[in-house]
Amino acid sequence: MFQAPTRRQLKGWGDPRSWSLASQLALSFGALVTAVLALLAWMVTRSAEPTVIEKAGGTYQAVAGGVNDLLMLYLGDRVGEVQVLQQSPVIRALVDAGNASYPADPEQAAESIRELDRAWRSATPDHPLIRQVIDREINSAAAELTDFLLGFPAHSELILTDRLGATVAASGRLTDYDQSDEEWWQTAWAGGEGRVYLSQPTFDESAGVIAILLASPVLGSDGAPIGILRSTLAVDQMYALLSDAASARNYDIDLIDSNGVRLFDSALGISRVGTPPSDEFLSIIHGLDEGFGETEGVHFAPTIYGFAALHSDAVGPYDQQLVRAVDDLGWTTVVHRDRKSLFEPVAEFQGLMTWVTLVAAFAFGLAAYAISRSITSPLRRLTAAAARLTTAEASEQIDVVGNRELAELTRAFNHMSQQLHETLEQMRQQIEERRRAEETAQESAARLKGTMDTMQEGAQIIDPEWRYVYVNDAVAEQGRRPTDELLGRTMMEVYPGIEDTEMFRQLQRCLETGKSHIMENEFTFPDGSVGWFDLRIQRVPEGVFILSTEITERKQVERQMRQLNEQLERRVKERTAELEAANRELEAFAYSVSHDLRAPLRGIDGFTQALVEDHGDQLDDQARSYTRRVRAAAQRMGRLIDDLLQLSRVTRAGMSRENVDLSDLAHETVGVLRESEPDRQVEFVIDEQLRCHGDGSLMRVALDNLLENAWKFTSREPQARIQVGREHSNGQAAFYVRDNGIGFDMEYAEKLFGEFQRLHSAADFPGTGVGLAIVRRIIRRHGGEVWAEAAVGEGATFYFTLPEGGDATKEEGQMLETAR
Amino acid sequence: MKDGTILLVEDNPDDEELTLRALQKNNIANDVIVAHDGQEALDYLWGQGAYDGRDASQTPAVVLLDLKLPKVDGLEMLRQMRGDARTELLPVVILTSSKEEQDLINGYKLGANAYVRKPVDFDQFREAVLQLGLFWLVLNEPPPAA
Repeated sequence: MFQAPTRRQLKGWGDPRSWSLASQLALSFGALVTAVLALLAWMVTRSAEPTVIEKAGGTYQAVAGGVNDLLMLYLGDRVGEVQVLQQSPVIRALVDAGNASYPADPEQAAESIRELDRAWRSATPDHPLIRQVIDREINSAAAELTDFLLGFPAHSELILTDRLGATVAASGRLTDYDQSDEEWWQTAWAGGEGRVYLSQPTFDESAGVIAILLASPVLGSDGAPIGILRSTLAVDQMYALLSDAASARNYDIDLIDSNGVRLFDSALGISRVGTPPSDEFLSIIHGLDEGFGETEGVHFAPTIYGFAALHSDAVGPYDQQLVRAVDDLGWTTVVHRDRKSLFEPVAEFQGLMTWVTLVAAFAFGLAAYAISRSITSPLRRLTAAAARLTTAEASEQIDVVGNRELAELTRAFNHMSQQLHETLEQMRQQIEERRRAEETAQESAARLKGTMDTMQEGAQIIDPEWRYVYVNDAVAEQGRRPTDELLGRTMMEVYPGIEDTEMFRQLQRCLETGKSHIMENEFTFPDGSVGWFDLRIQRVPEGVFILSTEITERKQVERQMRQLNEQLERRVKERTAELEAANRELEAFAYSVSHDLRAPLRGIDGFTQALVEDHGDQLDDQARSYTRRVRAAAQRMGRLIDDLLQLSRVTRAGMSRENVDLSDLAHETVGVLRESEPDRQVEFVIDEQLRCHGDGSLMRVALDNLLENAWKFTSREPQARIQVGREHSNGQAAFYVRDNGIGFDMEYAEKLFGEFQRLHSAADFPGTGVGLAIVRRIIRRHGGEVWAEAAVGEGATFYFTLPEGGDATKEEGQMLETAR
Repeated sequence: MKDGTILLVEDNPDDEELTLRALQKNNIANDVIVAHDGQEALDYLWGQGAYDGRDASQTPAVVLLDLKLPKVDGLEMLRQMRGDARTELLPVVILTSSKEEQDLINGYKLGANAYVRKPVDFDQFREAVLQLGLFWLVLNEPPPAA
């Protein structure tokens, strides 16, 4: 059955930090031990190395010197052997014989040798001349040479020449006859007495071996050279010496000539010369007698070497001749050993140390693991318990075990677990409550956002970098930009130059101080058109919130209204000025009337009276009647003028409102009326506390007129009764003046308050018809109304109202109306 | 009736005649000086102009003053009188057709001692003149001579 891999399986080794404490401790401890021991071993070997190299190199240098001694001994022995042979009388005789056979003329002698040599090289050995030479000169001497070779096996072949280089004896077959053109011959001959020549090892074809040619002059009885004896030394013997010396030790011996050619290599055997050492190595040993060091130049592997030049230490028994010959060879002996084998003991030590290190590391690691296990095991239980905590319904408790610290830890854990469980329960409840609250909040937020998005007012939020972070549809409409052109961009990008506007300054102020602001803003769009907006600016966490209402239309209406108002005010001013002018004229007129019109009337009346008084006896009854009528007419006109003046005065006079007691006023007037006709019996009923708010003197005039009327029209009523009071009439509280006089027909009620309107004849009831007109004007100026209710023969009631606060507008309107 | 002249300042000949008549009908026989404008009245009072040489210390008992006068009108004349030590205390009764409130106020402000409106009705006029005469010429104690 398939089972999902557990986390542990997937993890593998993973991050070392996730390993258990025990593993970490063990590993760290093991690593520490390893590092310390490894460092120790490294330091030991490192400090030993230079010493080892120096010691070994010095030794090899000394060995090389020893090897050279060996070679010198060997070569010295061979030279000595040859010198013994050349001193033999037989040899000397052979040479002398050869020398003696040449013609005296050197030129002829040389020619005879060349001829023989040519014949030797070109002709068969059966040539009679050659045969003769072999038989006579060479083979006959061969026995002597062969004997020598038998006695001294290091020598493999001998050739004896005379003073001109012609072969006089040979131990084997010769390929040529004239040796004077050979290097060994020329060198040995040129060296004179005692000169020894040694060639570099060369491959001897005739012998099939690598050989060294040793040439030594044959000295005559007078000690002068008479010929040359040449021996061929097979190098095998010499190299065997070197091989033996090398194999006894663990080093190699190489022999290198002055040209850098490796003559011998003990590691490779004697028959092969091998590759030459590197130029670098050659340059090291060049020109030096001895030395040592480390190089890769000998065999192209790290080696420790010591070397010694063959000539340099040539002392002791070797004669000068030998030393000079060896110098010419320019050999250098190199003793070396490859580094690896040399340091094998060190490497072994290192290996041992490695093992010790590993074992120690493992042991320490194991110990650390064991110790930490004892600590981590309780911890692990704690961890497991803690892991269960997250899911456990009940609080997790564990047994108190382990050492003191662990026991304390466990107790603390148990306590914490208990607390955690309780806290967790509380948190769960809180989370649940919060979740519900958030759901509710989200719903309402969604509703709010929906409302915000679609509401008529523009709503936008701008962050402190002036970026639009929220705009609703209305903003896009007001701003004449689609929302996606606004969101995420800055105000300055969308409306360049906006930073110079008052609105921007207010936004800035709001951002800085957090103070809300309400303003009406005139906004000029990039296309030049202008819109008016009512803006409410408010700081919000995201930046600044703007609620905007487009009020362009309202602004236009307002402007029109303002213009109309200004127009109206201008007109009112003009009218008022006209009115004032008219009033002034009226005043002047009234003044004239009162003064100028009355004077003639007084004249008419006065002189008519004077006429009656002074000349009455000359007048008959008729004439006296006429004079009475003249005077009556004049007096009546005087009253008319007075009334007219009063009428105009009540309209023009300034008004100052105060609290007026109508009851008091009525009492005063009644007193005057009673005095004017003391005989009349009239009952007055005046309510107390009839208070109103109005101009005192005007109210007195009005009340006087009403009471005088009542007084006048009750003159024929024996039981006259006049009332002053307040009651409800026509649905409102009104003052009244009521009498039980003759009354009037309601048909004429409207005419009653007109100027100069009279319902009764002047004969019956004197009067000018101005009194009620005055009353109406006064009441209207106060913003009130006046009306009458009456019936013929049943008296009349005059009502008037006075608003508590007065009505200035109505007053003004009334004034205008009156002025017109 | 006591001695003492009456200075009547009146430009209207009808009113002048009627006033004199009223005085006469009331048996007020005091001398009446009539000036027809304010300047003439001041000249009389201060003994200057046409009245040059008149003893200004002889002041009338009362001045009956109309307001509407040619040249110097009544209120102006009153103001000048009150501004001069010789006439500042002289009793002045304004006798005029005007019943304008402003005229009343200004008259009293400038130092008028009484204000009487001339009625149209001659009987009433005569009654008023009688009362004036009784009061100012009989009852009233004039200010001490300057």
